[in-house]
Amino acid sequence: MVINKSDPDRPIIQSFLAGNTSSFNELVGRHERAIYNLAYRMVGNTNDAADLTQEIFIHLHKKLGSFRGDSAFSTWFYRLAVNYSKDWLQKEARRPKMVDIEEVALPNSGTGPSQLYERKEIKELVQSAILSLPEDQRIVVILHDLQGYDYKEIARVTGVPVGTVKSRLARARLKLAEKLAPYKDGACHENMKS
Amino acid sequence: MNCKDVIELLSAYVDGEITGEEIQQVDSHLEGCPHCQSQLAAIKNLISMVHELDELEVPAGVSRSLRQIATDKPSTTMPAKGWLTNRLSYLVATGAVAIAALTLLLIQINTGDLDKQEALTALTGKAPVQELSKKQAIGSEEKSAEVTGQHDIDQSAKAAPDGTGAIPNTYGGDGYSYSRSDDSRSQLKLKRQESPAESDELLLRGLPGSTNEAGEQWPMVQFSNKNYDKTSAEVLLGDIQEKTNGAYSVKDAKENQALIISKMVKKIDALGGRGDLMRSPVNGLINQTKRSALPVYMEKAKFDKQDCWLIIIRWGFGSDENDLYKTSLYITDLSGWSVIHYISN
Repeated sequence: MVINKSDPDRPIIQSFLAGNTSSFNELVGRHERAIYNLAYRMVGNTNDAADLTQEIFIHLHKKLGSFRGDSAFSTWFYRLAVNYSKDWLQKEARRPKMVDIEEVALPNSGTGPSQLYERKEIKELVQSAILSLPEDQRIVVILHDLQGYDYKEIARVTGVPVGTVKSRLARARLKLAEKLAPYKDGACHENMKS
Repeated sequence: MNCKDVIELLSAYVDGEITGEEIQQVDSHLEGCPHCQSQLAAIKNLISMVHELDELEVPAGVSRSLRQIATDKPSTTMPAKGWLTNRLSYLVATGAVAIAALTLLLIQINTGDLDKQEALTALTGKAPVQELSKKQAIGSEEKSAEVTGQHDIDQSAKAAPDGTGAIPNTYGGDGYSYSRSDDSRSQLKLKRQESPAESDELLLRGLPGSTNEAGEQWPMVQFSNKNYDKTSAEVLLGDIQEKTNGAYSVKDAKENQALIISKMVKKIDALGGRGDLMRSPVNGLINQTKRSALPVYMEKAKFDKQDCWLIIIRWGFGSDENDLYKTSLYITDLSGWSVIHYISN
């Protein structure tokens, strides 16, 4: 197996493949936060995010032996996680949806020209808007705007050309901007016609 | 460049992911176009709002369970070594289960604690489907039985009721012991035991006949006139979860699943219901979790004014000593096969 020498996960993977199963927990420690947050932003509630995270890592444990090292481990793992999340969503689409107890606050147009929303409510609106995106657009928003991947890295993770990443992100942002326009600056501008 | 071209580039423009030439063209267009300036401001504002989202901490229970993956039994996580090895392993496992089931049956017959129906069930019970599924996962796609934790309503709904009440997956138990005197025991605490029950004085882990300090008997079955909605169902789930936290383990689910289900069936009968009709649906719900699971609570009531069963299952995975730390509530129609609502903690 060729290992990218600058890959910080390299020694851990080598250790795991040499039979040290506890090395897997080091990988867990390094990546659980990012994967959990990816899962949460993909599915929108903590229960499903927990299940999805666990399944992704179980899947990783099964597939780790097939990692060839021709890319950084994180790129390979995130591609595995993204693909698994998409499959999971398609399968879960048949199930009744669970929602977090904290419901998203919706504007009441009868309350007046403007209404200030708390930051928490705005965040819930943003999350709700992200969830409304098609999966491919949702993924690029999460990877770029939330997890800090650049276009090339996203292209490697998602397996599509950089141009496709660019257009997906552009369309996603335009949709989000349209949805969230009434709530910019924490105030509801729904009744303020320009 | 026209507005359409510019708007398509604005996202990459903000990210610095366009060429120098494109930057000049966009800048030039923006100078004289209020509409595109407004679009640019909207995109920047949107990015700012997304950046405000908090990064979540991984829940402790999730983190703990992730660290159990590597220490799980090899058969649940390691890739299969070959068809023949797995076939032999399966046959050995099946034979061991069959012997254990027969031993259990003889014990129960001797103690007079087994009625006809259960004797028939025990004799006709098949080898655990879980074992076969795991071995069949060789080279299969990711969504095999080894990928646990799926709650597939469709599979549950498709399963036909078993008229004989036979339990699809009967764990004969290995090391299971159940004394006839357990039912007469009084004031047992509902708590984890550190070693298998060997005498009446030892505390049992939520097994039939145990009573906690509040006088509650677990597992619990109730008939009520309550009309639940989503909110009150969540409250119920939280309440039962709190009452049974730490009381059940993976080992319990492996060794006592059939026993607990049988006890719940009897309790339904005692309340005037048809317990035998619920055996298969409850088994169906347990099996679709594809992890260690136990039913702990059933209530016949209403949900949004519709007659229903509320069935709470505790489940989890990991080693035998791990808690069944997850709790799920299935609200089904009276047949138990059609799930109306589902929530999970």
